[in-house]
Parts: sequence; C-alpha cells; structure tokens
Amino acid sequence: MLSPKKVKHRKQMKGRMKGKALRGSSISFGDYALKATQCGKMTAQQIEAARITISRTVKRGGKMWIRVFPDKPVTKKPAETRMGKGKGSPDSWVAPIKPGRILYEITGVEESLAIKALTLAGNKLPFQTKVITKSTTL
Amino acid sequence: MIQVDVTATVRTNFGKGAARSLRRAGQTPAIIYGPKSDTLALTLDTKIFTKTLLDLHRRNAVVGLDIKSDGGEEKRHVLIKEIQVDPILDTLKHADFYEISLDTPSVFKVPVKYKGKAAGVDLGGELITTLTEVSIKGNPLDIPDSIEVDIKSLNINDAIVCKDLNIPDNVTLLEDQDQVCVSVVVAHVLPESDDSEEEVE
Repeated sequence: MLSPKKVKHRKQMKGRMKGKALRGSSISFGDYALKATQCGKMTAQQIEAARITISRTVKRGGKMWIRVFPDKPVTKKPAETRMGKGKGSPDSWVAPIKPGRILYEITGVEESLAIKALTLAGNKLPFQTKVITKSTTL
Repeated sequence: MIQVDVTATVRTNFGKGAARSLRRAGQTPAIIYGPKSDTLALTLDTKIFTKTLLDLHRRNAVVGLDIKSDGGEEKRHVLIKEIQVDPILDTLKHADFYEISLDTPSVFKVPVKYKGKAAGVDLGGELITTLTEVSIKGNPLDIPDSIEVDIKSLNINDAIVCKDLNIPDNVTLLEDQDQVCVSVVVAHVLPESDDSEEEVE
C-alpha cells in the first residue's frame, strides 16, 4: 500500500476539508478519469482496492495513473483504553480529497471498458465520484 | 493556424451576482483586452463556445470575435488567453481574450509531432524525446498548427536537432539551432545478478 517513506512529524492535526480542488482537477495524462464530486478522506487501502478493481477490469493493456497519494497520518487509540493520556499512535495513511479532484486516469483501452472500470473503482470509495473523458471535457 | 468565429455581446452588468445570473441563463461572462485597445466586458453563449473550445482542443487558434453592441457590430481578432472551468461540473465559468493584430509578429508555442518508429529502436536502442514544443515567431496566420518530424530513418546514436525541423520560410524558430529534439541512444541494460554469489550468501 502507498505510504510516505519519511515524514517530518509522525502525527498531524485532523484538519478540515473545505472548498473545491483547484489543482489536480483536470485530466493530465490519460483519456478517461475518475473525479471526486464530494469531499472525503481516501485511505491507502481504498486507493489500493480501487487500483486493483481497475487493473482487473481492464485485464491487460492500457496504462493507469494514480493522481492521489496518502500523505496524512491518522492516529487511533487502542481498544478499551480510558480517554486522555495523550494522542493515540499512528494507525493509517489517508489522502484528503476535495470535490473536483482527479483520482485515477487511464488510457489505451476502449471507452466502454474504461468507463466500466472507473465506475467499479468509484464504488469502492467513501464519497461520490464521476467518470469524465478527455474529449468531452474543457 | 486554425481560425474560428465566435459571436459575443457587450456586457454592462458587473460583479459576481450579475455573473451568476448570466451563467444561469446559459451565458458566459468574458473579457477582451490587448496592448492597443481598452478592456471590454463581453458575454458569450455557453453551449456554442464550449463546443468551439472542444473542437480546438487546446491548440493555437485565432478567434474572429464578432462583438455586438448598441453602436453596431465590429470584428476583432483575438487569442484565447485563459478559460476558467468549474472543477466539479466541468462547465465554463469565464474566458479571457487577448486582442492581436494579424500583421504583427508574435511568439507562439507550437507542438512537435514525431511520426513513425525509429530504425534504431528495432535494433535495441532507446528513443529519447527532448522537445515536445518549440517557440516560433511570426504573423499569427503563418504559424503552423504543428511541426511533423519523420523519425523512421533514425539509427542508434543519431539525433534530430532544431535546424533539421521543417519550418515555413515566413516564420522564425526561436530555439537554439543545435538543440536536440529527439535521439536514439544505446539502451541501458541492468547488469545481470550473479547467481554464484547469491548461492554463497
């Protein structure tokens, strides 16, 4: 699964996701893309699950780009622990997603297959997504 | 260079409230400016202009803008300087036009397209593409849409430099003449792992 090799600080504050994705909101590499239409946190497991779905649907041929990276640590306290005693230990990595963000791009496959693969990948994610094509997007 | 015609109307309502009501009515706010003219606010039909932009597909194009106002109709030649798109809906929000003169030379970025498969690649070489676009100065209508280069004859250790590009006579290439555009080099092969050493370990 994706995770940073080295970080400056092990724990981060939770933060808020407001606004729209102004960067990373247009197709840069492929012909078809999956775009988030809501905000949410995409975990490294979800990024991997969606990637596997795309590669298994497309089977062979084509090329895929993952446009998000989980660089934010999420902490968790152990089960059955009393509150207090400081922040929990790092548990997982997430990518904060704002609406409009491109998540995956693919090329080199038929349009119907690309749309099917990206739709199935979108079903794995905790927010709403849509499939866009380069030829019909500004 | 491609030429397209677009119709626009002079806009008198300003501000985000007016712009939003325009967008709801199927219009897009736009602006035109240039070195020799005053800034003018415009409105465009969103559906027609979006279709035009999709046809252009981020290529260089001279837009013939027919501007309708109370005083009559005038035609100006412009370049599309910037378009703003809603990141979620992918709809057009605003457009910037830059007025140009068709007789004044300007600098444009023109894409370089490489055609064919290099002979050196079949022999085990690696194709290295250094330049994908070049700067060309000339009158807007003389600028080519793209520059095509045939790379079929490229062998290993051969290269195509900027002075080899097929540029029209009435425009000037602003790149270094000896700048390499594309080359075929000997492919780097990773050394095979020594099995005997692994067995010893």
